[in-house]
Amino acid sequence: MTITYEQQTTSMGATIIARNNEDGSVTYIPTDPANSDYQAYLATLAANSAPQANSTES
Amino acid sequence: MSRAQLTSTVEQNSAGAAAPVVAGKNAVANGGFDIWQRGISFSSAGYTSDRWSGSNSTGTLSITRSTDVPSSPKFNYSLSLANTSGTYPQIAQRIEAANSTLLAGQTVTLSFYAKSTAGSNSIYWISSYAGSADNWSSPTNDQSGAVAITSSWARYSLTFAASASATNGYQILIGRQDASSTTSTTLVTGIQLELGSVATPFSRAGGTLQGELALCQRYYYAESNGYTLATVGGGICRQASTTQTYGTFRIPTIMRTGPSLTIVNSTGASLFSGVSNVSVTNITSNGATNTSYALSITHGSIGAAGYAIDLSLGTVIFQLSAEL
Repeated sequence: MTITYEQQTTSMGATIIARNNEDGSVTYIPTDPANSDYQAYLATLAANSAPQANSTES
Repeated sequence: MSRAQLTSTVEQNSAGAAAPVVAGKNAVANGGFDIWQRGISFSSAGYTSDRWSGSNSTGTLSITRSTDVPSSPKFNYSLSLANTSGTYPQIAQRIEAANSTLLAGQTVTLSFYAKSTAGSNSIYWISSYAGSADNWSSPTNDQSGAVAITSSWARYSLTFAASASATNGYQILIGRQDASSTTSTTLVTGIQLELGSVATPFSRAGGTLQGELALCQRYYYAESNGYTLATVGGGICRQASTTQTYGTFRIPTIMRTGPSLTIVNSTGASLFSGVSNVSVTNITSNGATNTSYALSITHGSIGAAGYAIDLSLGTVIFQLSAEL
């Protein structure tokens, strides 16, 4: 299973990144520049050269 | 009591100079492997004992908690780093910039206790620093070396100059120099990184067991084991409708930054109204800060909008990570 990202808006109006993990769990990542998972998400976006809401990490 | 007086007292009692055991001297958290919030046995790369990530290049990795420890000084646990038919098993810890800044450009000493129960290759160590503050996407190696290891417990110490770029964050990595397919097992504990050219007696970075736990929970915290969150965590769950509830929960320790929230198994939890239970059908995050996290809970019909209700996790586990 491949890791996928999805940008979401919470019911409280915050933007959050949902990462669907290989084991089936979901990690919700805050758009906080100091968060290392968010840094990895941004790096994946940059590597894919396609800053879309949905992205894939190999 | 002054430091000179204290040192003098220690010298009188032990017939030798010894630095006092002090919190904060050790830049490495959980160097004595007291804290294992994620479990005590791991078979794949990732975080293991708190603050320590493990990996290998090839082979079958096994990282477990061990009670095989040095006889003097005694520790509660060691970390067993085993790799079967593979290469370069290793553990590493990243020190956040706010702490590693104190090491930048300074002479530092890395020390640890280790022994080998399988394999004969040396231990290697590598220090590195982050490319920018607390961002490890492009790290740079700083210092490295290797030391022979034996089948008996021994303390190893290595003194070197930490890069001025340690202001970005600093990493310590310890592994086995298994360059070709090898089976090895290494036990290690009492890891310490401190200022100066002398390896002083080991100290927990947090000073005490509770201090060490709080320090580790700055980076990772798991909520599990069937806790009723609204009771244990002091949070508030409030129904938005008969089938939708929102809850905000305090994190016991202020975390390094806004944590990622992983929900392991989104089913298995239940809500208790004080009168009856109802099963939770889905849980998603409503965001997290370094002090709290919010959940959106979908469930079977119960109560009414505005009612307070307790969330019991059952088999659900929440993992909050602010690791580097």
